[in-house]
Amino acid sequence: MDREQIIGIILQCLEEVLSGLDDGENPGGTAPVAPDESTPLLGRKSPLDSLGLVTLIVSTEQALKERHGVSVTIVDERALSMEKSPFRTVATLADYVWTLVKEKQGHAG
Amino acid sequence: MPGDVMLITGARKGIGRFLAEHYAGRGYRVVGCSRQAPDWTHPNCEHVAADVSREEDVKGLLSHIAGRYGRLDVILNNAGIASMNHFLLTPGSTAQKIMETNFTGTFLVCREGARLMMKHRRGRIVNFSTVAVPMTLEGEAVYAASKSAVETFTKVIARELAPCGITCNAVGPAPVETDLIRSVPPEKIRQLVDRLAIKRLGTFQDVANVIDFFIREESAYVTGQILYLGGA
Repeated sequence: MDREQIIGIILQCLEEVLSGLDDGENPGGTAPVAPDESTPLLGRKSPLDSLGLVTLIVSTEQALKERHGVSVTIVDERALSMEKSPFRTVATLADYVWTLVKEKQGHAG
Repeated sequence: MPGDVMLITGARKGIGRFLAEHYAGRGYRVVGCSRQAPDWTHPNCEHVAADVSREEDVKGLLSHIAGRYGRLDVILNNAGIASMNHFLLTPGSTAQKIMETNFTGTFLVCREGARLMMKHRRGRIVNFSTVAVPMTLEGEAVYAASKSAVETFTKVIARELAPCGITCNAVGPAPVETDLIRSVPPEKIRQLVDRLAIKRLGTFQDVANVIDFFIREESAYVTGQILYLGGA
C-alpha cells in the first residue's frame, strides 16, 4: 500500500458521505464540488458536519481493513493531542493514515 | 427480525443465556460472548470468548463478527457484575472492576458495534441498567453508579447515533433470580421487592418482553429511553 492508495480510499469514502447528505447540499448550504487533496475536513469551509467527519473516519478505517487487511485506529490519543490536527484536509488525513499504516507494517515486518 | 445478527454480552448464564436462547430460537443469528466458555449450545448461537472490559478483546470480537457475518443488527449489553457492600467497606479495586465491566464494557461494545451498524444505517442497541438506580439502593453504591453512567451514556449516544438509523435504549430489570443476586441476603431482596409497585421478583421473560419492544422494526422512533421493570 502507498499514500496514493490511501488518498483514493479517503476520497471515495468522502464522496460516499457527501452523496448521503440531503439534496446533495453540504451543511454550509453551498453546492458540493468534487473533493480533492485540498478539500478541508474541518471548519466552516468543510463540506462535512461533525457526524460527516465521524462517518468519513469510520468508513476509511473499514475500507483499509476490508481492502488491504490493515487495521488502524485513526482517532487515537496522539491524533487528538497534535498541535496541528491531522483532520484539517484530505491531504493531512492521508499523511497521518500513511504514518499509521507504515507503523503497523513496521510492527508486522 | 429472523436472520438478523445479534450480539449478546454476558451470554454464558443467567439473563444473557436466556436471551441468547430466546432470540436464537426465533431465528436470529446470535453471537454470545463471555469470559468463560458456556456449557450449552444452540444451532443459531456461536460463542466467542471475550472480556468486555478489555479494549483489544472487544475489537477482536467485533472484527470476528464483521468478518463472519458482514453486519451487526442488534447489541444487548447484558454483561455486568455487582458487589453488595457499604461503600465505606468497598475496596478501590472492586469499585474499579465494577466500573470497567459495567460502564467501560458497555462503552467499548457500543463504540465498536455501532461502527459496524453504520454501514447499513440500521441498528438496535439495548443497554442494561437496574432498578437500583431510581431506588438508590443502600449497599449498591458502586453498582448503581456504574449503571447511572450507562443510562446517561445511553441517552447521549441515542442522539449521536440517531442520524445513522441506530436506536439506543436501556432496560432496568428488577431483581431476577440469577448469580448476580445470589450473595444478597434474602431479607434485603424482600425489602427491595416490597418497594416495587408490583411486588415480586422479575423473570427472564419480563426482561425479554422489554427488549422485544425496543428492537422491533416498529420501534424505530423509540430511542434514548430507560424502562424500569416492576414499577420502580
